[in-house]
Amino acid sequence: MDDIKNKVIEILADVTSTDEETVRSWDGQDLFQNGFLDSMGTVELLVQIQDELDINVPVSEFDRSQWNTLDKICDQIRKL
Amino acid sequence: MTENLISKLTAAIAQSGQNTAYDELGKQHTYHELQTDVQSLAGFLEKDQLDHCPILVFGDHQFEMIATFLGCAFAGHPYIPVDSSSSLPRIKSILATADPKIIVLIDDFPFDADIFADRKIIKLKQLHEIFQQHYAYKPLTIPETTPFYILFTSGTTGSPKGVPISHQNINLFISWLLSPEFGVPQHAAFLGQVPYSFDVSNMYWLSSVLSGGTIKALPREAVNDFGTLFRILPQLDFQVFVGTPSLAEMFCLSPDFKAEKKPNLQLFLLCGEELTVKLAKKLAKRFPDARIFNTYGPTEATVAVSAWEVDKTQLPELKRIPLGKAEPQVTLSIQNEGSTVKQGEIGEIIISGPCVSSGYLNNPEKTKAAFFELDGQPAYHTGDLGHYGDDGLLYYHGRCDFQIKLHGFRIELDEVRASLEKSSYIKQAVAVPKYDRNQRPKHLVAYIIANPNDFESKTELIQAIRQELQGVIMPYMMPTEFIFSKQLPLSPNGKIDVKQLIKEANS
Repeated sequence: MDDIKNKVIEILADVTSTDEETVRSWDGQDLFQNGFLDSMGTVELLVQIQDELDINVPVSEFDRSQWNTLDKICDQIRKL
Repeated sequence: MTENLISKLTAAIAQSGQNTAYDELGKQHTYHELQTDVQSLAGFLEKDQLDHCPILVFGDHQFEMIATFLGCAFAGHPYIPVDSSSSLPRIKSILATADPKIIVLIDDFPFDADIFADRKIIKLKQLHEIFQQHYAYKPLTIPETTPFYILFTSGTTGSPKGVPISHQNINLFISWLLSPEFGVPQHAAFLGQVPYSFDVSNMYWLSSVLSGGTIKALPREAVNDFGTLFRILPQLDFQVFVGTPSLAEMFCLSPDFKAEKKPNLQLFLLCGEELTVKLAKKLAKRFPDARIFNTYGPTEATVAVSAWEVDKTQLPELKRIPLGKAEPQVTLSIQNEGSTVKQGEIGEIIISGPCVSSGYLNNPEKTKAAFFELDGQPAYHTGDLGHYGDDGLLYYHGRCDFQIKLHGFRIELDEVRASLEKSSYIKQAVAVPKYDRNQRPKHLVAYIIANPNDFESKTELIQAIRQELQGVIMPYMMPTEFIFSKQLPLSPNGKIDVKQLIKEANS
């Protein structure tokens, strides 16, 4: 597993107040549909991505369907 | 005696005439329009023989919401704001508790309207007709103890509780908010995002109306979708930000949410959840000239009862943002088991004074548990822990309820304790939450007095306990950490001091 994915797992574990093992078990699942992330969780996820990875997420173009799984989040980050 | 709220509102609305009272993403309404609509609705309600029953108002962020609230209040009817995203069980519970005889549907009702039975329903179209009719309104003398609104708490277990807030309660609060302490500017534009079913909304809508301001409404949809929100936000010009820290955090996702791009934004009134030092620093950095207030209070004591203005020079040393000082006429005392603690000690925050509600609507049992009298004043148990610092300011220390929310599950700590004690290896147990750096429960810690056993290590003992409790305890209730000790701390009355253990687990 690559660094970005590990970092995203770490952030998601923090944002959802779970642990990394739990977050890994969500791999491939829709984070929103399964209720793992709500809109405030999404805010925290994006805040931490901005703060810890030092990148700017262009929020006005934010499209939830492109951020709904672990892998898609990693893909989005790689594109920035 | 201060002027009553209805006369203040009447005068303020009359004075503001052609100014814009409400702006729903460009759709504007003047004070003149508000005045006509409010008086006509109040006149219509006065004609009715329905006594002063509560009126349920169902909608989102429309202009008609505040026009209806005011029409109800002017006619002496308490209104119950219900968000149109509410669930059916919640609405049913509100109907059963408050028994409103009139239902105003500003949004279409998405469920079967049969649940309203023979209650009078006023749909948006009929409401507009009432506004057009110019019914004559005769100002009434409304007793100060009459509820202005009844707000329902958002409890997820059991039924929501109705909190009546009287004309006196809300007048006291709004007079404080509009006092020089906060410097709310006249004729300002207020961000109107907080739903009307959440009492923090009073911070913008009532203060805007009373100061001749404009409410810049931000409907629910706009906030649920980031894309939409961040396309609207640059065009939304407002001087006063009213909202939760989470909303401010959300806005901060946009690098354009800063003084250079929002030069008119001069005042932040934050309420409804804990303001973190991190967010306060972020806001202070992005808006160096704006005044930022952290305010605190439960619905039961009318929106907010204390405030602290973020002091940029103090921020670097702070671990937690102070809740600040009490509003005038309100006392915030710190108690433990019914007596005031020593200066500096942590205890439950007790609010007493004319801001406190008369108690939960038609719920004597829950009222008795939370409301009491202190030094001749109505008082309320907040369930929040706090202490007074040497600086004379109140600080927050989390909840003292033994009920927490973990991974979305509401967990009774006592239930976890009882389940743990089913293990043959455990003599006595206590489960407490460990909080993350944002003060949210992260996992459970169990303090255990073990029965005599032959295990060679703690790890083996923990394994055995976990194995034995499989099927007895729900997986989400299983503590992550186990701490063994010979005895557990006791409170003065001989019960296990759970608060002390919460402190220990989080030190």
